[in-house]
Amino acid sequence: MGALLPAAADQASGPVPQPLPETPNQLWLCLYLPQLPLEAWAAQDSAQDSAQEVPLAICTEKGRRTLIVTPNALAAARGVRAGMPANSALALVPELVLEVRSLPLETAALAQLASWAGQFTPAVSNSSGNALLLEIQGSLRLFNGLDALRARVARGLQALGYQVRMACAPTARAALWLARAGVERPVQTTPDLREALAGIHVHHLGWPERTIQTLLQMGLTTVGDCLRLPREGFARRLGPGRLRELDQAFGRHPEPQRRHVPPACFAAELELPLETTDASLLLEGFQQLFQGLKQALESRQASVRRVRCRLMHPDGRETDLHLGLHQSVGHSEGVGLLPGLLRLRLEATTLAAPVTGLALQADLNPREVPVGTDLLGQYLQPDGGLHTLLERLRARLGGQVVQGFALRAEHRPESAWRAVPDPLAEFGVGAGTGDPLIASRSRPLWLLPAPEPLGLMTGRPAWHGVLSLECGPERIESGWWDGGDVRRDYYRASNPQGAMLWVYRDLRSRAWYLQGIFG
Amino acid sequence: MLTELLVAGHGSGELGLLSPALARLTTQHPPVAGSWVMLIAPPWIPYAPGLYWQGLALNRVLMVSVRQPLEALWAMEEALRSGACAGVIAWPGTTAAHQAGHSLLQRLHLLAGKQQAWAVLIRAARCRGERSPARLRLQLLYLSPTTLQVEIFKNGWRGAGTVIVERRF
Repeated sequence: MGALLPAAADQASGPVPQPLPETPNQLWLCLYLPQLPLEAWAAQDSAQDSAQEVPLAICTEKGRRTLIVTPNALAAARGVRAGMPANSALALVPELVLEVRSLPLETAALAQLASWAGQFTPAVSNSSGNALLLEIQGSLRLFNGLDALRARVARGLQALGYQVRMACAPTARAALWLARAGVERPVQTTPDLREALAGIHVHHLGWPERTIQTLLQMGLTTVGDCLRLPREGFARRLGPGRLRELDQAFGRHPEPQRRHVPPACFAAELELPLETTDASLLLEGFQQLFQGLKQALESRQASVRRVRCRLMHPDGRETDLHLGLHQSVGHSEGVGLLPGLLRLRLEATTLAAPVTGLALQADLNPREVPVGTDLLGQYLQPDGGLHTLLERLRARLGGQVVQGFALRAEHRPESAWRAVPDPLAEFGVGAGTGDPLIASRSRPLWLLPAPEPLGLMTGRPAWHGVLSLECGPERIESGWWDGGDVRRDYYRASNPQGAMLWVYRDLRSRAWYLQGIFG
Repeated sequence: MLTELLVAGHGSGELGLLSPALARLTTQHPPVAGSWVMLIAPPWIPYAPGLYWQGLALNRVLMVSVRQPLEALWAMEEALRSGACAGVIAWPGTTAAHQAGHSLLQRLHLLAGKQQAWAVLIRAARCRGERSPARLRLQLLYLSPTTLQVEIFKNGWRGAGTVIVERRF
């Protein structure tokens, strides 16, 4: 007869699993949200005010009966308790407002909280009822120890409007049970764990009602009582699943947790209290949304590249503003840039109608470049700030205002170069030298968009005065294969004002043209 | 530092005069991060083979086109503020700098000094009488098809003077 604990070997009951080492290498923080049904309901936009001001309770149908799940503070103060039939509650508080529990709402709220909790650890699980499980052993040092971390989590949840009971234990299930039982004292070692778990009432284990009844009829009220039973007897009477859960709580059986995977995009909306076209008010609204984006980036270690800002008009139309960032940016430096870009864009946009709502959408990418900060905490930009500059110029002046230049191996002057619309992508941030493959001849610094026909004065070409040919001719004959056949004699010519021009004579039409200026 | 270059008309040799300095800025060794040269609102298309022939590294040269003259000055301020540019040359048109007023030019001057960038404003010759924060003010005069006269009429606390420059073609 091997008792459940201590793990005395008993060949008949099968091998007893290995116990947890004295100093376990995992630490689970459980955030138990006892009021989640109420809080998830109150978090809806339409419900904000009434949740605090009138006696209210969330209820659910169970068979034929309607049971209270979570009363709010006012209702609880007047005797409404969880598990009470709705009729009894109404007898106590006749003006009680009953709202039907919505599980999808709770799941969504919990998923959102799990994404939020990603800022503390990447291992967050939201698959155990009203609780989040965070594996925090690896985060303790970053957050200056357990107490500081717990305080930070508590502050954050309070700001979000959630009541929380926290517990810490070396196994996930133990943390969950302790949190449900309200044992907030952190449990970090195995002897502590045994002691803390032994005192937990079986009500808090989340087992089915019948199992609890059976245990109570057997006179077992705490986990400690259960542990005194023989293993095989316990498994036979209550099912092997319960035995495994006990083993998991004590770390003698593994309990893999499914990690919460945050969504890959960020979306948030804001309804404005009044219709406006005022850019500064709109910006203020967007600041709130950017804050949300910043938190999302922080908690997911993500970066953004494109942000879509939507302005909703009362007639259902929308104005779309896309902010393209040249480089993916993470939280602190990137979100700092966005308001400035948006301001430039808003100033350049005329709104067709007043705006009633704002929305922000962004795809989150894994962070690409580990961005450093220098000694003074300044964000180091590998290109000396050119990305930012180009983004700002494009935001105010339009998408195609900045261009670079490159040579092409081509004799016709108008085709001997090309515009580079995205200089950073093509040239990179490192400095380089020009293309040495093209043997260069004297060329003007300015090119006219199209050759300008020149008039004649006393038989000689003229442009603000008669031209005198200084140098030439240089004959260029090319392009017969692609239809752009040219036969030209090029000259350098000066006019009386001192402008040095690049002119040519078309050898077929004998007409003179101005193509460039030596500036 | 802010340099003002007064010209009789666009294309009278100003870019040719600046290009040896720009060539040096774009081909610094070892390569420097903020070594871009930005041409803002130029009167015509800067011709890549010509720039290359004058020795500029083309992959360090950017052009910004604007719709309104005042935007050219705004872009110039942004370029200087960013610290990404070693040289910023702007052709803001004849009236823009006058409209923008002294304070904007002062700001450009301070920014250029702070970022160690070379800012050049190309302005019309009739702006010569206006007050300007530029440390160096030059006027280009035509002498002959191959030579220019550069009149230095303000050079910090040093004296003014005149230089004859041979044009490179």
